[in-house]
Amino acid sequence: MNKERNNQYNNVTIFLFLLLIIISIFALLVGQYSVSLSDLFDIITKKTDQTLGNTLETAEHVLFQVRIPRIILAGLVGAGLSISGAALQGTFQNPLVSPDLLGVCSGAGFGAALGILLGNGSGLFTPVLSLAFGLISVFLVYFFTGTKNHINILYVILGGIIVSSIFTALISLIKYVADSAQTLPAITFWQMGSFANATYHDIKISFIPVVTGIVGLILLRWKINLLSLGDEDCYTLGINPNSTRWLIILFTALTTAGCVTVSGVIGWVGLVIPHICRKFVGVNHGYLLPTSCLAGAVFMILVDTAARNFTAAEIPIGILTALIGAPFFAVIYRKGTETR
Amino acid sequence: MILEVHNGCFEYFSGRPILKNIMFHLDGGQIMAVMGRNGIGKTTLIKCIVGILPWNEGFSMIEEVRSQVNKPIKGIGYVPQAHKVSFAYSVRDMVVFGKAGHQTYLAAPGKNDYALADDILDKMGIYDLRNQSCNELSGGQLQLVFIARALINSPRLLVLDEPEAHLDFRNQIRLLNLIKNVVLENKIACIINTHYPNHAMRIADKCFLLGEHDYRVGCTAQVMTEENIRTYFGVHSYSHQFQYNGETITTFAFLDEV
Repeated sequence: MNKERNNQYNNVTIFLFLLLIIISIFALLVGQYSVSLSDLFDIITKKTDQTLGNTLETAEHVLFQVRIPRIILAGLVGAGLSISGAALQGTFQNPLVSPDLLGVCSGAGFGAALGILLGNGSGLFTPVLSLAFGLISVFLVYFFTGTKNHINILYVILGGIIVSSIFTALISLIKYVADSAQTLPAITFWQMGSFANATYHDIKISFIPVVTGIVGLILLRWKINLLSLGDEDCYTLGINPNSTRWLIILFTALTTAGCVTVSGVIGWVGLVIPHICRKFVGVNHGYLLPTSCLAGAVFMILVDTAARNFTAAEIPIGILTALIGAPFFAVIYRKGTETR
Repeated sequence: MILEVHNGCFEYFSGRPILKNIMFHLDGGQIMAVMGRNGIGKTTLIKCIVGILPWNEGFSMIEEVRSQVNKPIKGIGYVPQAHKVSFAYSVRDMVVFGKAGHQTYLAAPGKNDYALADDILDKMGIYDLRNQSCNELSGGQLQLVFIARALINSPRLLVLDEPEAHLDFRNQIRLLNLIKNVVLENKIACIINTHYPNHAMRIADKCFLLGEHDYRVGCTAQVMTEENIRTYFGVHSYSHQFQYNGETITTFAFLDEV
């Protein structure tokens, strides 16, 4: 990272911070019930002295009970998925890796499907089950891979594929036995990913795992650089590649499971955002991780705002991220092959 | 004494030992060349000393500290063979990574570390490369960057795995001189794994000849003889001595298989 790069990193970080604030306020105001900036000020100032009028009371409800939790959740999930993607891409020395590499998404999806089947998707049951199975999937990968020294990262990836296909099959099984009038559509919609029913409840559930994971990854960001150089370099540069790699996998699993639990499966963010960020701050994970985290939050809030404004019937956000992400990735891929 | 290897044994599969009862020691300012045929275990020896592989028996001590597997030692600077890097890190980043591993989880390399990296790159004469991506460098340049990365921690023992393997002979001479200077200036010990007896003769104080069943270690001039080259490499050779800059230089010509 040369001096200009370093400055660029600082500039990009400040820019993304400002963008995050602006986008959040914008997302707060637009929607089917639109609120003006002056109304927003009124609500904030008058909320403290309890003198809200009737008209503003509706607006207050929309803002505080619907939009704010939704924006916070979208930001949290976007940040979590992006930083996990960036961390795993470095750890596995492969820029094509995304957070669902190790079966976390399938595991969490299975937990959610099971919760919807058994508890009709009510209360805490579904998200807790989802979070639990997301983490169980990583422990299964660990179990399949074994704890020997000098394991090949291919075994870890293979373990992920095994666990992922088991849980995918189990999801199909649940869908097969589910009631096709209510449970089956509920599971299917959950899988498409959405923030439509975001509540403070969801934030409470996902906040601790996601933030723990993000903080852990930020602390380990320089070690990810070393891991990306290969195991032998790691030993001689001062870290134990196996334990460090599992620590990073655990943090990404916490983050990803926390995200998937409340939002459903949202693809492509974890793959595409780190790629965009590399164009601006370079490949050093010391700088890439914080940038990906911020950019992911901005991107997700933006796409979610689009999802609820484009049409009267909301488009599930998982569909939108794939529709935007996949073509974008195709363009990057083409450019990459041309320059090579 | 910087490095001592005591009774080191290693085997990948039980019953098929690769290294048996390895014993030697190295002082500050000394270079030891490790030589032997392909597949005889030179790299294995180096990996055991550095702690990438565990000794099955025996131990190595670096500055009175016993090496342990999975516990990296800051006093060792290891330079792997130049290999492809999966991300296009800049040269400065790559050198600073040498610092990152030994820092605690809470610390991140900062301005001082980058300044130190610049300093080392300058001393090695590759300051101009500092902002280039490692993927754009030639094998020889990348090798120099890896050496800089090892030097950033001011190691007491520098270990290089076939550093001159992919270089043309002008760059080979440059690299060997650089290693020699670094070792003498900092009074550190150095182990270099090489396929060229002439290089060993040129810079190494000690030589370690690894064979299938035994090994020879000692002063280079005594170990590197026509006779030992015949027994350990299976090659007839002819040695020639001449004077250069007041030094007696011995070179080998290799003639035929035994």
